[in-house]
Amino acid sequence: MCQVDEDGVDLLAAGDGSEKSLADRVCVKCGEQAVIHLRDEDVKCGKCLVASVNQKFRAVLTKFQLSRSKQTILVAFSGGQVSCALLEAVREATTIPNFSRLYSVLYIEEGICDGLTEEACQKKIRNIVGKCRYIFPEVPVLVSSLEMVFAEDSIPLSYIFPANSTDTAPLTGLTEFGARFKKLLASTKSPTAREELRKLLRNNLFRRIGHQQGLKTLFVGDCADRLAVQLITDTALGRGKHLPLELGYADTRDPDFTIVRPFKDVTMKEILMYNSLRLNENIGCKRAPHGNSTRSLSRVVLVLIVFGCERAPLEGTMLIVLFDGVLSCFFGGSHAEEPSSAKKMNSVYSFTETFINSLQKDFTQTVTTLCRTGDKLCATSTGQPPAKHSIEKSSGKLCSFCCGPMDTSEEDACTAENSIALSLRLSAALPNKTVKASVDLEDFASSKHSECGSANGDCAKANGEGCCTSKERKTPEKLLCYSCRWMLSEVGDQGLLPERLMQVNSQQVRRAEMRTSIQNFLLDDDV
Amino acid sequence: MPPRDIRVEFAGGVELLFDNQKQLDIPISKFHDPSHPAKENLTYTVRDLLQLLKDRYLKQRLELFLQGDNVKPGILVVINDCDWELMGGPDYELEPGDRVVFISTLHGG
Repeated sequence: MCQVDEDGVDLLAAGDGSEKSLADRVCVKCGEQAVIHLRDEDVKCGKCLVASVNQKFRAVLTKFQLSRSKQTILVAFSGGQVSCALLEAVREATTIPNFSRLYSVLYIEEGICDGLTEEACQKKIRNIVGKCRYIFPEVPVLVSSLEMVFAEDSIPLSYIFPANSTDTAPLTGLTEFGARFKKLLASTKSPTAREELRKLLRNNLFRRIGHQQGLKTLFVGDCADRLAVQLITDTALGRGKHLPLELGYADTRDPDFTIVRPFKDVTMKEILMYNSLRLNENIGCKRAPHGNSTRSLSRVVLVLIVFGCERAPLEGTMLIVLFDGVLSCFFGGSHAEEPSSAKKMNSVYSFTETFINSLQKDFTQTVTTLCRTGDKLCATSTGQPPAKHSIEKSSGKLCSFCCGPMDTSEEDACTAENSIALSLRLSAALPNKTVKASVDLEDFASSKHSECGSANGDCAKANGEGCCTSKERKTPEKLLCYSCRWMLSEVGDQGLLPERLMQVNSQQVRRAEMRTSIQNFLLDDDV
Repeated sequence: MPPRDIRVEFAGGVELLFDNQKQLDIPISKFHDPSHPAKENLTYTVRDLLQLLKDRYLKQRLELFLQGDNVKPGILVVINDCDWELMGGPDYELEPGDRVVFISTLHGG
């Protein structure tokens, strides 16, 4: 048994005292009184913290040679903490001549997926735009909503320029596409798949808006903590091959539209303190007045919104604040706190987040170690956008949903994945045959049979009304990466997916078929 | 007249657990627990504050705010504009007029 005598008590007390001496720590850089403890010996004062965050942001601009480019950059803004910090860093950078350039804020409203009414969505949009105006008064804001991903041609966008009031022009088609979106989400079986689907559609919308506006760069507010969680989540979901794209400074899967993560190396704690110091007057705003921003009373009220009730404009609803690369949710109001609804919301991402946060508490290096690991995985591709030529050349090898590299095995390779596929085809075909009928395994192995088991590869071609027709038509899974295949299998009614997404898919199938048929007449790549 | 209350603020989603209150002014007197004799020197720590918040103010979902008798990992505590880890963490002795802010980093926002 341990015994503690009086001397021991003194020693313990002395130990406590030494821990408390952390309070006397001064900033490692300038010797001022520290306000944030980052890790181990790393403590910083407010001024150095703000400078370091701004410095990290500008370093990314320089790294991607964005500081000299003339093109406008889109900044994704959700109204959340990281978004606010990102926008503040953007504003700060524009005050420096070398980094001054044009920015537009892009906000995508996703409230309708969470059951918000159109009116509530409009209110939310007004709040978000107000927040944006507070942080960066001169920036134009583009507003769209997630269900616009169903739009066939151009995405409807609301432009809000600084001169306008914060009242937005209502987006048309909200109700038109909203119902379909709700159905799609409702038909998705698991919360994880729902999150993945929303993420996929959001990224798709980002890209389409970027192309529509002729802009090539989008900043998103992914910070180190989120990327650490994303690393584990992606691995769990079988997105290993996409890690360099999901975790690196830049997501270059679309050569014409790059998603940049300027806060990749900034931790959540730094961001919260940065916000406290720069934006939130409630927690002692030291922000220097800037520009011609005349603070009206409404703006002062908005400060409270930024850090206060942003997620709770409505009671009794589950509000999900999206963007920043990940799904972010919190229970809103006092009626949504049923344990059952909490269980429903649990996804791989939220479990991982809880796990990482718990680890981080006792092992303070967790997030940084994970991020370093992520860096090593990204080492080969970070900062090197793939040549357009190489993308075109290997266009058949990109997932037609997420545009990431294909990670599935070759058709004739002897892999577990192919064995399962063969088994599935056999199981689908056998009920149609008599027990004694011989089954030509070779025939099945060569993938001539479609998923429904028909011998022609596509039963629709055989009799015109096969099970592969219309809404029930199976997407050619060959064109999807492992993770997207899984996600698609979780979507109950695939006919509800945006036509555009599916069209790209079928277009690729036709091209692949055509390529096979004319293969003999094509010149070899090596020649 | 110097402030005699402890000001507690919630942000980043924590306020939802406290009935959407973003700010509470808690008089030191509320720290007295009738079931226990008052402390001799009348000093109270953040740990006592957490207990008080749990007992009297927290409306729902205890597990989203506390883990054991400490705050849940992922919630940042800022005492007088300074990281609480630099102030001694839960053992920091509160003084009248102190401002304690709880900011959730969980689930983005």
